[in-house]
Amino acid sequence: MSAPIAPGSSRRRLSRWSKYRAVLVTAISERFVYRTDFFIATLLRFAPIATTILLWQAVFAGSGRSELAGYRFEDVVAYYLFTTLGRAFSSMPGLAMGIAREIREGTIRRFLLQPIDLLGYLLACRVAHKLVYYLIAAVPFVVLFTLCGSYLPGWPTPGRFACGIAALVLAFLLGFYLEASLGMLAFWFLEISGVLYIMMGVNYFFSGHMIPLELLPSAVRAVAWALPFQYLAYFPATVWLQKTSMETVLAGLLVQAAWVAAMICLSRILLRRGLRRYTAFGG
Amino acid sequence: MRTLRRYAKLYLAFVRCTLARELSFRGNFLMRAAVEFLWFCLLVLFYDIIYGQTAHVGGWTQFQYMVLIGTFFLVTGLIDTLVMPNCAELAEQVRTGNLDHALVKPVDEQFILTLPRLDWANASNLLYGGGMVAYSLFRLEHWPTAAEVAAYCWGIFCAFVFFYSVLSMLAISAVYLVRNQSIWEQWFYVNLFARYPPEIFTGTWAKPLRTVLTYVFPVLVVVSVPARVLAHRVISVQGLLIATVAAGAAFALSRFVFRRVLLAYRGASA
Repeated sequence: MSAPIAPGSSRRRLSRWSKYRAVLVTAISERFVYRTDFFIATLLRFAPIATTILLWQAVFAGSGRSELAGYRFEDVVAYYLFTTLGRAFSSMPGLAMGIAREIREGTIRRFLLQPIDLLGYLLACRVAHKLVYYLIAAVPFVVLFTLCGSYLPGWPTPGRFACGIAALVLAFLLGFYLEASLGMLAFWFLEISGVLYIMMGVNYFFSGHMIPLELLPSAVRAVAWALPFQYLAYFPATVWLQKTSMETVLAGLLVQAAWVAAMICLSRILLRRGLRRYTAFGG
Repeated sequence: MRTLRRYAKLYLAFVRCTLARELSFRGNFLMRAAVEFLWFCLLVLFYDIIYGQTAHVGGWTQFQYMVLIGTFFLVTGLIDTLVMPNCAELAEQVRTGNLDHALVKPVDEQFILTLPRLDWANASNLLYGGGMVAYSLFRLEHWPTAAEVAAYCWGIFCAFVFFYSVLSMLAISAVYLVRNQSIWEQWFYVNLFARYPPEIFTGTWAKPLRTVLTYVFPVLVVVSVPARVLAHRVISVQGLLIATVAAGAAFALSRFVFRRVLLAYRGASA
């Protein structure tokens, strides 16, 4: 019989990590069970790039100008490629809806009974989802970036490259905790699908995925600068576009990290308060 | 004739049931209609910004383009109201084995699997789309003739049949895929091309793509043809013919595919 693990011991820490590693491995296996569905969904996400390039080509041709709001046609194409990359990190399909369903159907009670943290579990699942996604999407991304190579700026310096990676990782964390916080609203309002759809639209627009934020009317742009959504797609794209100075990039990373910290705190507070008022339904 | 009457009666029962269900959750209905309106506004704002930079896109002025967008909303509104909820559920029915219950009913299996549920909240898109078309025609000072209205309605009907057939085939593919959660995404990406005018498909790689999307999988034609009738006042006989053939062929193919795929279905509920 093995001895009990003392709190704070290295074995206990190891056991905690191995728990989430097991969740990660299981979630990866689950993704591969329904691989065709996942493969189709992953590949389809690249389709809008073609229509976006064609639309902007027509816009530039129609305007007769070589630059719109500081963007040349090549910059716009590169911008959309990089926002697609940013969204590949920050989008969290089904996360908030999944949390809301667990709360509504009462299945969230297993996290109250089992020694596993809800947010840690969901984070491990999401990392697994993203790892499989990148594995499948790597080929189309490489093909796309190679085909559109003439539109892209040159290779970034090592410093900017590191900032670009940091911006993408922070975008992932921001997207995760933002969506998780939204899902927690189900503790107070059981049906939140309407709110989630509204947020999806707001996110899509203010993250800069729909249009470069510089092109927005000034009043709308001011709102966009004040919200965290720009750090999900627009900011990582501008880092990789190399149109801003390193000082601006570093300042942006700090603000992005601050938003991540704020969202982590918010999701934790909402979870703690939500569980306090939670009543489990179902057998 | 008797069969047709029977199916019409059955469909009316579906309409009544789903409407009654929707009205018992009025708050949710209003919220979802508001969400659809938000997406509509975002798209209008997007094109307003685009037309702030240029006077035309592929030869379409702002309000001509808005007729295209309005028509797109009308067609997708019809599909989202009448077809999509069923297609999204079909995959789950295959996975859980509930499809067995539908198959034992004495009605056509494609009818009972693709049409019984109506999502009334999506019907709000018909209002937004119709309103957009009417407002744009007012701004363009185009008052359509009876022939133009008839050609437009026929074009919308063909577009609906075409998309319905494509979606039916995508949905029934769940029998092979076991899980098809991405059906909403597949639908989004199928109709994505329909909201752009074919004229923007220029250049070395876009021209062959335009040919494929016009003659092989005519998603570029089915919405732009009726929209062009009102926006440009051009009744393109060739375009309407392609749309009609596309709708007829897609429907016939969907009937064939649906039956063949169902033969491969093995009940999962027993």
